[in-house]
Amino acid sequence: MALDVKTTTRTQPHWIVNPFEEIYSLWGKISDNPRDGSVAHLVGYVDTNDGSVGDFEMDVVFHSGERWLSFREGNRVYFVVPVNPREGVEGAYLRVLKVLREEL
Amino acid sequence: MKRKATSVEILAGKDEVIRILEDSPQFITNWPYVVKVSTRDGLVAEILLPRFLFKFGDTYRFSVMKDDTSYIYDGTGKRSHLIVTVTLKEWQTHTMADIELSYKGRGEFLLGKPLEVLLKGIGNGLKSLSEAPKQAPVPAISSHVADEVDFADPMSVANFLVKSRMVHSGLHVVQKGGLLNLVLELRENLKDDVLYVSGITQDGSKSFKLLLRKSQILALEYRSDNEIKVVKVEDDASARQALEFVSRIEGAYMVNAWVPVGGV
Repeated sequence: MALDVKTTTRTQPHWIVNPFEEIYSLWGKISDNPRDGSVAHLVGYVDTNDGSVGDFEMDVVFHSGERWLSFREGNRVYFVVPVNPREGVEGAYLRVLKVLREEL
Repeated sequence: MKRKATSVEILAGKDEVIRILEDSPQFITNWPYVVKVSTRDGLVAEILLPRFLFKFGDTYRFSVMKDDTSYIYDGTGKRSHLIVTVTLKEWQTHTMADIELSYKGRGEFLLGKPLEVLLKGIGNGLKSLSEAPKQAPVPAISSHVADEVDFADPMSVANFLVKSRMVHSGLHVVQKGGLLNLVLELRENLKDDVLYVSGITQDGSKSFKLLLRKSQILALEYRSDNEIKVVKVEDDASARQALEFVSRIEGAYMVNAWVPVGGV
């Protein structure tokens, strides 16, 4: 399985809280697609401090198409990221990581 | 002698609570202020009670006494004496545990607050340990679930994850050829036959997925900068190939592990 998101080596955000458990707790929602063709998105925020991620919160919403959105307000990065259940929990993690890299 | 008492309502059967109390080293490890527990030469625990600028530390040698309804943990230290008594009452839907703590010795007039925190912590620890779900999966279901997973079909993995429970997540440094040791470590506390382990480096450049039944590898996906390899173990040759890729895995990975729970 090829992951769509390619990453380049740049400074890595350092996670103080393990993101995988949080993403996996949403897994039921991500893979349970209510309507054909709609795409699951992770929506939430991440608090960063000198490249390390302290607090974060996320949830799942569905949208008719893929939509990327992220902006930064002080130390807080807000994001909407499409996720693909085929990429697994790791794929979702990489997509959040990609947003963080762009915003940091 | 300073005495404190509290009671907690535990939403679990009496047998569950007794199971926790029986494993006294594990139980004591979960108390607050416990720095070290050793079982090499009897049950010995080092407890450090902080108060203002001082720290009242002592090493207690515990002896455990029990009867039908109560457990007594009697700790004798060099300068103090600590006794924890847990009395259980069983009701239809829950179990009440009355916990009494008594402390005699150094600093006993100062230590009101820390002893209260210690007592509350013991109660909460007992409650959450007893209420934690038991690990008793049905092997027939979990084996069947594993058969449906095919790494060449990502949706089968996604469906597998829905029917699974995450049992571990953390950063591990994998030595060359040492992945199976890590898997053994993860297995130690699990009764399940089937285990799904996935790992990814923090920058996402390398990853692996591994599906195991007991010590046998069922399937493997290995991804590095320039290659993706999926192996489904069906015969000796593919088993050898899978092992070869496993031995190549090396570095710092975020490792997650799941076990199937059956269900829908």
